[in-house]
Amino acid sequence: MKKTFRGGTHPPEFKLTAGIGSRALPAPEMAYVPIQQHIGAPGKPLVRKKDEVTVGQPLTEPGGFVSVPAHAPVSGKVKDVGPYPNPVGREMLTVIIEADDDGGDAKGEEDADWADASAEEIRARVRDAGIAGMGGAAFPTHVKLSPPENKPVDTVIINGAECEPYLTSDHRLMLERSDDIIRGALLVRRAVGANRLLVAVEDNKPDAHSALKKAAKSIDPGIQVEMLPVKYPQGAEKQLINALTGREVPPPPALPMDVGCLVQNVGSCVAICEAVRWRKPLIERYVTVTGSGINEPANVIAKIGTPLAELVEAAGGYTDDAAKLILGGPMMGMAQWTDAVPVIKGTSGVLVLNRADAAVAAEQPCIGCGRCVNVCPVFLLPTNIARLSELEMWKDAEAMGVLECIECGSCTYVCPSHRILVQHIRFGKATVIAEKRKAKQKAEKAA
Amino acid sequence: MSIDSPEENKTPDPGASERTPKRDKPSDEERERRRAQRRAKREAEKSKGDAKPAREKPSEEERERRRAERKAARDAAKAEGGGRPERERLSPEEREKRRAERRAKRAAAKAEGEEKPARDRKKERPARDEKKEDRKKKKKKAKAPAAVPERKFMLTSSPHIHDNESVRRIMWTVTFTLVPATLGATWVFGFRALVLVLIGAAAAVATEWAAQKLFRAPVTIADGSAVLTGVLVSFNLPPGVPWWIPVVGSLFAIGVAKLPFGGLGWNPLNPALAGRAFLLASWPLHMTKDWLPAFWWKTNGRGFFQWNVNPFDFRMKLSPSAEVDAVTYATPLELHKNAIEETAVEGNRWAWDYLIGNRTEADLVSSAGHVFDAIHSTGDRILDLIVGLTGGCIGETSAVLLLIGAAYLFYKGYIDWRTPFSFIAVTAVGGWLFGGPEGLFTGDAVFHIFAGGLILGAFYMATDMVTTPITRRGRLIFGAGCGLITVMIRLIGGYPEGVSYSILLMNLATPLIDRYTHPRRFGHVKKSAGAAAGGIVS
Repeated sequence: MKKTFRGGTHPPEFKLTAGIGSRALPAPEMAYVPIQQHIGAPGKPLVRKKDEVTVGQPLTEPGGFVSVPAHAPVSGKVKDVGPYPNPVGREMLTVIIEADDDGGDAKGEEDADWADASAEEIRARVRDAGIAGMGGAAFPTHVKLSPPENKPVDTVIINGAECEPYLTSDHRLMLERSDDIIRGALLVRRAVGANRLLVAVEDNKPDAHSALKKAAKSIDPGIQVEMLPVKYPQGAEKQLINALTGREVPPPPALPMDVGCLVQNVGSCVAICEAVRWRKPLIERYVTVTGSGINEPANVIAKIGTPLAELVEAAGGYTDDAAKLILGGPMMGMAQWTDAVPVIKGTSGVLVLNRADAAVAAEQPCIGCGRCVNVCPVFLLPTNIARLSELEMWKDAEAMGVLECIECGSCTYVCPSHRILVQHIRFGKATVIAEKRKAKQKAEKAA
Repeated sequence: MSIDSPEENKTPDPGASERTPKRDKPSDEERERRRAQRRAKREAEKSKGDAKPAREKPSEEERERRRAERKAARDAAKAEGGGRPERERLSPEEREKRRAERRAKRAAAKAEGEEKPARDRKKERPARDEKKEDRKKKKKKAKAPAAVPERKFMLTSSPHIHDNESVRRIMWTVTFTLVPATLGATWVFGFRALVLVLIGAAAAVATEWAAQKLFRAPVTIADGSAVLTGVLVSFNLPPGVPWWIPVVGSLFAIGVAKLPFGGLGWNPLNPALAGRAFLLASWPLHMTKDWLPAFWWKTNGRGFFQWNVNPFDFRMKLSPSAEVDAVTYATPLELHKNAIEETAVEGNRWAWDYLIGNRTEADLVSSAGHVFDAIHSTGDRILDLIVGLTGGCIGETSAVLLLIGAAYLFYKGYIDWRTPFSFIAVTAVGGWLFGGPEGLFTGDAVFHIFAGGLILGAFYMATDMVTTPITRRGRLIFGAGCGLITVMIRLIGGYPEGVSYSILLMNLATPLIDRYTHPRRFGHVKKSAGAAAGGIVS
């Protein structure tokens, strides 16, 4: 029996670019580096207008423990430090660099003893390299690598599930950089002192599975490379842990480390390897440019800060009926209003849908089919929570577990009434969190 | 109200005269100050106008002047090619008047919005969201550096794809899976069965269309649910009923049991079964006596296409010797009921034989036997039940044909195995335990499964998405409850068949079941189990 989790769905894969090797994009003429590309505190800018920067130079310093610096992806002159459209929706303080030179790959000198670096050293280098989870959520990696003493991590899981349809950047990475993934994974295991190291790949990528298996065999035969049946959202941390170990991460604010697990994306592993080995900051990443609105879907290696327009151009440009631009996959990605926004650390794909694919059907009343209940990977009753959220019954929504929703979107995906379930739930979740914060502030004020 | 209302409140008053080109949000104090300013201005104007409408106040000269002004403005606008007169040209009174107008309009719109049915409001929401996003876009455009290109994309919240399943597809698929059973019924009960099914469906669609037109609601007949309801209403009728019975049934199902509650998705009761219950209460004779035997159309020179049929023609004398013209032609379950109530007489035996269609009337008169033997003893009679060569409602007789349709629904995932499973299991076990003539454990489970409407009810009525629980455990409980009530009605209740009432009763319990069967949420493991599974025992 193959290991998997309960619930979930299986959207058509549309992995148009699985067989297309990635190619590096030339450095952009203008690079836009937002000061915050991760979850946590924004960084503080270190450069000012008209400063000269060289590639790999930190542009910001971390604004706290849960924060990472951003680095110059190119050499050049800082044209401006000001608000600029950003993939997360709002405008953000962005360092705009006019490039005069792509400045190479920013690799430092190789550390001969990199494989034996201490846990401290690994964490420090990872932080200095500005690495944040590259699967999409962009949580600062060094924080994950620092589990508190009372929560020991015994299992490190390397996430190569890539369960989102369309995206193939992790797939290509697993094929092209399998050795570095395994090396990075070993560094992660070393940093947290875990015993077990699992690498998980879905069974629609058998070539990636065998490539990683081969790499693991040559580097450390103790690494288990597992094959999981294709299912969405297998790549979600909690679901992946559940599929591989049977453990269930308790509801938030619990983290995987509460059940002794740590999950790292394959992209993060490569970045960790490069950071420890060459002290190379995170300034580029694999991005899939795909979808029905793209002429020649492709996998590219793009510098952080490259405007999406340049990626699209590299992939043959838009088709005439391109209607929707999404950063990330179709299930959880964020729609963008403009292609001026830059690639950031969590950008795994640029998906452009044509008008037909982007069409939105009219919402109908719930018919109680229960499909959302069947697919919910955290066993909620999405239709009920969505309705409570519509009715603004926040307390009831909270009691039904609105805060435990992982926002995977499976419920909306399968709803025959085209109800915007996860959207309502997301709104409810945000409202409940905001109200809680307000209540807390009020209490603090009163105290 | 809708979730957007806070947003609405935030939008700037379109009538505010203090509109500034500056897009930055003024601070709270600043806004307060401006508001006060506006209020003062309004007060001043009001007092000047002696609280009377501004229009009547001005002097003749003033009005003359204004008229000239307006004319000039109009001319200017015409010259500009339809452009509006500039705001600055308006007199303060004029502006006040317009403001009042707009305010009244807003109030009216708001009141109207509150009166609108929930569905309309929902429909409006995306549009409002778009507006919001438009505003955002504008804001960004104003601030963003020149590098921002013109190409813009639509914005929605993820997920951005859908599995293309729709209510319409589900409803039509379920309807089409009833085609084999319909054709089977047509073969057994003649052409009139098919006509009754079509009449039921047509009446349901017509009712929905007419009611929605009447109330100016969006017409939803295309979603297939009305057709399905109509077909199921007819499936629950004896094949000998007059044509208007399915019409009235569908009328009630759609017009009373479905639409007044808000249409598809909001009805608490299964509309088709509510329609049947209404018919049973209103025309009990038609609903309980209009049975036709299988292949009646083959007998005595009748034809397949014969419409006019008098079910009384198929009623027999109680026994060959009896004088009274009592009811002896009945469905298997009625015979069974009679047997239970020990009112069974030998004559029922030939009635049974007759109803399965392999006896002539002459044969029937000469044959005799105990009804229990007739029903339970021989395998081929049970086989007749399963294949559907017996009397009964139009759609309920052929288990095989219904199961063919249901199998496809399973394959498509439109029905959950839990409801039919627990429904049938409980009915069978209950019938086996208590349904026998000689005490416990002598009942016939197979008979109870295939007689009457259990197969139809369990696979097509108790799985109705709208009126049954959404949780997995809830569905098991729902089915079990249906089974229990069915057995009770069949064995000790007043009706021979209890499937429809059991489902209706359980429909009413659905919200309660859903409430108490919330699944265990992910990560909510028991403490000990969590520690064990977590493997972090320190």
